[in-house]
Amino acid sequence: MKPDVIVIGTGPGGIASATTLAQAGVNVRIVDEQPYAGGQVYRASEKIAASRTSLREWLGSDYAQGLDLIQAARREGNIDWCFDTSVWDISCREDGIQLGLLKDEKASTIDAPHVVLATGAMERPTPFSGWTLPGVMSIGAAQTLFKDAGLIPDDDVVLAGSGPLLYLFANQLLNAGTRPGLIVDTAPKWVSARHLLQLASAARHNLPALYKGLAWRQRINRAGIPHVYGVCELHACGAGRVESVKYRNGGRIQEVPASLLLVHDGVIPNTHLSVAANCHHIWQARQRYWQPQLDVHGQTSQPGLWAVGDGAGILGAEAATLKGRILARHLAAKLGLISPNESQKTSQNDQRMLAKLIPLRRFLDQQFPPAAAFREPGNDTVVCRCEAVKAQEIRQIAKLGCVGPNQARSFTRAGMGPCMGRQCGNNVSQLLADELGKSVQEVGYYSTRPPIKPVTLGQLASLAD
Amino acid sequence: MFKRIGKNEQQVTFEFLHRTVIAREGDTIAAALLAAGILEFRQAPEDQSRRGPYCMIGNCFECLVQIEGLGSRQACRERVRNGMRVKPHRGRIELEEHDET
Repeated sequence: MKPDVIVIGTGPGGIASATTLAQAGVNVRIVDEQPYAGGQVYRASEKIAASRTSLREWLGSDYAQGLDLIQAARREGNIDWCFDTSVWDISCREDGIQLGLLKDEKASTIDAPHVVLATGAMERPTPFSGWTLPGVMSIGAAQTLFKDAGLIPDDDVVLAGSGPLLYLFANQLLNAGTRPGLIVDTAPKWVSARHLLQLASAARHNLPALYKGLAWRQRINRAGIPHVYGVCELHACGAGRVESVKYRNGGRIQEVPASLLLVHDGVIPNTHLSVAANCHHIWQARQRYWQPQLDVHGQTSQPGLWAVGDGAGILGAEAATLKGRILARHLAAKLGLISPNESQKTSQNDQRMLAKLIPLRRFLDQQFPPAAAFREPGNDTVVCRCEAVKAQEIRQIAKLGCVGPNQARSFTRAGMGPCMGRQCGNNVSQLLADELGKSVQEVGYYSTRPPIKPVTLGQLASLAD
Repeated sequence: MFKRIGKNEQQVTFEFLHRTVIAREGDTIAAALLAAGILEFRQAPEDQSRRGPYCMIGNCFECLVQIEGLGSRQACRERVRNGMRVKPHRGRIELEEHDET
């Protein structure tokens, strides 16, 4: 059956939207690249629930909530699940949104009057010296291996960067019986006086979440994991793979051996699809990321294209669930299945709960900003991993008069490799902005054209079948 | 590097270069290689530097491998199949590489 709404992504935002839409009688198709629901945050929930392992307990109570959300969605008959499916094209037309899909080596197209982007977050790909060495991975990558394959890093793993995920992951490792060798924290140990007001506001609205964070830190402390704070100048060193980690702690440079370095510098919206759809985007200067510009209901600048969850701005899984439900009720009203009045009334409680989550997020944004030392990569640091373009080259072309990322791409090939700028895009824009003395908003972002996932000619030819 | 937890589930074997890798059914190729202690998946086309998986969620394209002769496949997304042949990329892709299977 032709869907009324297509949802892209089965993380909390996508699942909650699809469930509420289906309950209102909307025919929903939900698309995900993975073979099962959950997105990255609730990844492999059903697989883990079916296995007889302790993984679920080790991952903690927040992760466990995902299964309820997924199971509620599974009970809805109006949801058509399309797993193992990539979106390689998106085009916005007057009569609706058309998507190019790829599954089992076959390409196809599908369209719907409404498409909800629930593409979630990705970790901020912050360049630093040696980050392309095998054995340097993101903490989220290691968490994915943990959830999806039951793989746990060995004891000599070094965790570096900042943010709640650093502490959560260290706790998950302790649960699994691994004691990380060292935590290299780019954030300061204490909350600065400047952030106390925001901390008080977060405590007033969401004390349990703050306690949870403190408990993670305490457990790291009690387990005796060495934890250094306020660190900068991180280097991954080694010949052909990571062998040691070097960093500056105050006036001293220190080096520790490591066979695995896991880094984390916060998360940013995954906007590749909204960029490909030519939506307007806004640069969030404090958190240093692009987010699609949305109206009050979550519609992008392209009519019929909506965005929800962390892909629309980082607020976390709980907020994504609430926003997903609120957006779904608005869409159901738009499709004439419930009255606008009913939509508003039933969303009131979710709106209140959402408001309580904001102050904590603002505090986290202040306490764990993108690490300044990471933000200004050294001249020799590779910025575009695919094409091995160094920061120096971007700075040089800016001096020669390069005005923006699209020109930089032609000059240096940065952003032209297989990742299509997913990793270097923000960093190239930031470097150009710094060098040109402009804001990132002024400098802009790469334009992105289909296919936005690698597609073979054979797969494309299957469109004619 | 990495260790496995959990029960001995259904095993699958596949070939990476000339090595037989034992994996679990449902593993991504990237997870199976990492579990076998293989960090290096390819050499970058630009500078031949050694590369391995970085993000594991399909964004970084660092885990690209050749599967059954077809290049530029994301090892973090493709799941292992019994007997499949996987090869690393060495620098730029040459046309004749596609001919050998």
